[in-house]
Amino acid sequence: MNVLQAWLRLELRRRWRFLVALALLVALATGIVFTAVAGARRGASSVDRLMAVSHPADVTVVPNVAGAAAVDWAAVRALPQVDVLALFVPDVPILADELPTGLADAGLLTVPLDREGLSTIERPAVLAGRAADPDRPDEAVVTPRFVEAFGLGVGDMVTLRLFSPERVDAIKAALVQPTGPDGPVVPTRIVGVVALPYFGDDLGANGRLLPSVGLAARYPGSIRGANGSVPAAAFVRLHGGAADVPAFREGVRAATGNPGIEVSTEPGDKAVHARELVGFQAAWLLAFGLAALAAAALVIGQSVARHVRSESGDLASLRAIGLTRAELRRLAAAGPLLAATAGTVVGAAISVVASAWFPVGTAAAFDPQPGVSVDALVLVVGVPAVLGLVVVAAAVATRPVRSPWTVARGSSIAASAARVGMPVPVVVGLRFALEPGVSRGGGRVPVRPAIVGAVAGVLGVVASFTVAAGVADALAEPARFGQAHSAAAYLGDLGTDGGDSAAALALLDADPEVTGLLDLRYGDGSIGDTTITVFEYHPVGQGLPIIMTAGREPRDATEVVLGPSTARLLGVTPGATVPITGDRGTRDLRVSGFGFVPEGTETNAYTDGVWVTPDGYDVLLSSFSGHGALFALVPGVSPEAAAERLTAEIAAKVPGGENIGIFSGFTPQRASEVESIRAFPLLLGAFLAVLAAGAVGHAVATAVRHRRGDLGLLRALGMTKAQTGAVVLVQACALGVAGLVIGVPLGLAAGRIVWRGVADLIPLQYLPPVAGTAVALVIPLTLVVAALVAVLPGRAATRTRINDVLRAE
Amino acid sequence: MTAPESAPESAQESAPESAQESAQEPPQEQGAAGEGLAGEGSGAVRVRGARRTFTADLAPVRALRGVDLDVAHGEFVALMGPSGCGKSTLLNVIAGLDVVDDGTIEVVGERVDGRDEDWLARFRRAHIGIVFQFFNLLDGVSALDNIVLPAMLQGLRRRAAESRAHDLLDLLGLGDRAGQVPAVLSGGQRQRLAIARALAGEPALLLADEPTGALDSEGGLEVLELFRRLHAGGQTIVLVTHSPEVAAGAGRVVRMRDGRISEPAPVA
Repeated sequence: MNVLQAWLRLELRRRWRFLVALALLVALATGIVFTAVAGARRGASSVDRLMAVSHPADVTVVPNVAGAAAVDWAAVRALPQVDVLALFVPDVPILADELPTGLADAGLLTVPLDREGLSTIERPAVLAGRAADPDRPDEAVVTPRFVEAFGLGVGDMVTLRLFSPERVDAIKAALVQPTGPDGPVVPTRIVGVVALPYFGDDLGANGRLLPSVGLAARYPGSIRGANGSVPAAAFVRLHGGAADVPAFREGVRAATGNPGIEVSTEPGDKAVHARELVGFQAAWLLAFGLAALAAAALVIGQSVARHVRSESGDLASLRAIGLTRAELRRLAAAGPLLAATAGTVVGAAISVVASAWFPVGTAAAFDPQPGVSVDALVLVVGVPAVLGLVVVAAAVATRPVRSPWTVARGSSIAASAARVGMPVPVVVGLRFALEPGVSRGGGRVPVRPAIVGAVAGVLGVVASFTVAAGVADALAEPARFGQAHSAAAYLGDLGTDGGDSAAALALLDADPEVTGLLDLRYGDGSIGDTTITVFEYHPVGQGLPIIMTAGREPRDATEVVLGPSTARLLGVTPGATVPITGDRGTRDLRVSGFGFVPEGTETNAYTDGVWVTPDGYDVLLSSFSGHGALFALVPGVSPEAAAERLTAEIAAKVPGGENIGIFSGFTPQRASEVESIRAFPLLLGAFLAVLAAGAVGHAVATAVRHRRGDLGLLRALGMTKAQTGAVVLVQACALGVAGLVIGVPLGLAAGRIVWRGVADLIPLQYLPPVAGTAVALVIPLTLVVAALVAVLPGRAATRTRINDVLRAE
Repeated sequence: MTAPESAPESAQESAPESAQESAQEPPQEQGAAGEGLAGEGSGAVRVRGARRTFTADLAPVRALRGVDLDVAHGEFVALMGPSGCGKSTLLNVIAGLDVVDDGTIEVVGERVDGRDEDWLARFRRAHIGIVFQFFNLLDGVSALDNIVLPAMLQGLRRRAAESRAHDLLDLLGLGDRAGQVPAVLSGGQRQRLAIARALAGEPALLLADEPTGALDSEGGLEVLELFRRLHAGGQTIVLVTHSPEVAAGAGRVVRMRDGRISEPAPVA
């Protein structure tokens, strides 16, 4: 048995409690850090991994203008850019007995129309069970949120109730909610749970049920109407990806003879946005992991150093009898390294087990392989890093201690407190808080880490509440999503109004509960190769504003307002001129500003598109793909009640009013994304607050231990127990105040920077969030927490036996 | 073990540091160092039957085995004896830094045995100055503040405490070192600073535990000369030392062995 083994046995026998505690500490720390970092990496890569599995579409082709129902898809499929083309019928009216009314897209399902769909394009990543058999009309797959929402999974039956072909036509024509299905009843078995990039789970939604291709093959009339009049949409993957889009768009227009047919890059845009969103959330998780890593490194390093210093007497004896410095370092590191190795193994195992709950947030909907996962990179890098930290800490602790009489720099704040005659406990407490000092054993109090920890804690809490204030404001105000309206009327589509739209608009304008009204026609145009939706900005009465991010609204036919994303895509600034193309030709319009566009009117996001005046619209477009009205209501009026009343009034008073629908309860599509972000800063803020309490508590406890000589001396000189306790209290509160003074302004700034990032990511109208209540609360709470963490060290300080301490010193 | 006594009766109190200290405020010293608090005939220190046993390295150590000692006001007593004979323990129980298991300790007319720690703390700040072998100065704090802080503990305001500290530093030849931290002072200077701190409260009793033990001969002589000057000024001093040379400077030498006074200790 060599010296190392003998020493290790001795360590295990006499210091086993410390070594077990160190192993547990390392296990906990590595478990948290590995889990967070691996979870962040997994989340960030979730979209790309799903894309790699599912062969997603690059574009959709949506024949959403009049007369485009009978598209020659064979001609489109034959275009040279096309790799794969699959047809889907969106919004097919199908109800299911097992699903509550209003769920599953309000009874409207997307049905694949050919075998390419959900096979060679938009291929599902099967999470459980299997893919649906394309020859079986009675099979379907569902998404994970569907399982969560309805409790129906693999093997369960869903009774699909279809409508007759005639009813399908009527439903599509009338824009009404489907009720009373009169078509085939198809008992359908759920055979799989799948993840998909485009048809996958949207945040805040209840998931999807995707029937087999066999359903459309077996019941074509109930899917596409009596004469196949319900338009299908094509999902297309191009050989050249995004680079082929312009050529493909031209090809589609030529092949269909329809210059207005929409070729949308929405699938790609959705993927880009999803990547940004999961990347943002992964960054928070990574920040959490790094904060945990910093805390763990500090605590583990100091524990090891303390352990090694406590062995310094024995090690010095061994050195005196011939141990080399290298051997000394090996001996010092042996015990902690053994404990750390055991702890790291357990921590790695914890992270693997915990991976079953990751990724979290938006990424959970994209991960093609949920469940337990091993992140080899994290383990390969992390395990040696943890062990290296222990070895370094042990090696540093074996260095000769500095002279006990090294002069420490004094705190000017403590000196000032002394100069103005503050009570002795205050002066001494400030010194303890702000001066590292030097104990006669050579150790220093971790003043800077404690101050940094306190600042980080306050910063984290203030920043997270600032972000939370932004989230709350955004969720309460649709205007932040660029939507000034609280209800909408759909007056017609494909160039035809359902009723007398002028009369309906007049009725709305005259209604006392309507405070602002916009007449809105929209249709497809383009800027260069980019398809855009052109919106008519036509205020009626008081009108409604465009939520601008720059500049002003358009004033005449020569001006245009660009959606923020459209502006970013074009790289223009207000005042620039852009060529807008409609079916009536191309016009150069001056950009008067940037502003959000209406959400949900087309396949566009609320940041893509342009606003023009009514005259400008007529110059560009001869017709509309949609016609509606957006209106705001008197504050306090229920949009649902107003919609019901106005629907009845329009049906009664307006010619053709029964074909005009009023919709309320508008919730911005991306509100759930904002909601999903809320938890991340709050979790990180809470974690930083805990770390801060730990850092302050550790500093206070260390100060009491390292400065027991000073405390004992002051008590020998006449300081009472209460005054001794006050010293510790002042020390903790001083660290808390330092955290507040530095952390609050930094937290406010950091919170706003983060919220600005969120606003750009979602995107949102940015208004600086103010977390006034949180800031008001964080001040007393910080001091209360500081006082609480001072309780135990304070008690220890007052219980120290003066004589023992002074003798030891 | 004697029963605790009530709070000290005689009181000419200085301003209390805090309100809670006023309830059991020990008597405060007035006038020049060395003047007794109690009336005529009362000694500065009176120890009767003091016993103290503690555990060290798992074995009981009977540090004091029934010690009797009287020290008169203005007396300079040196406690001598071999290591482990109990002289430092005796000093500590007189200072209230340690407690006796049995016997009585009376300092400037007040029983200090059986008192709680806070009473003892206030008593020390009012009546006792202590000098340690290894100085026990506050690191990183100027020489001036090493005196000012204890003075403020006694209730002096900052300005008054600074004034007294400057006087003491001048008196002890450290006037030009007021702004320096202990780390840059020599051993003799540090011990002089420690003595200045002990005198900050104008104590009736100055206790010194091996005050020259950590000093070279020159520093030791400096400190010894200082004690002589203080004694000449009327300061009551009890000093623990191994050194016959240091003890020779005292007015009376009390020898201890095995926890007992080995030679009678007549009151000077």
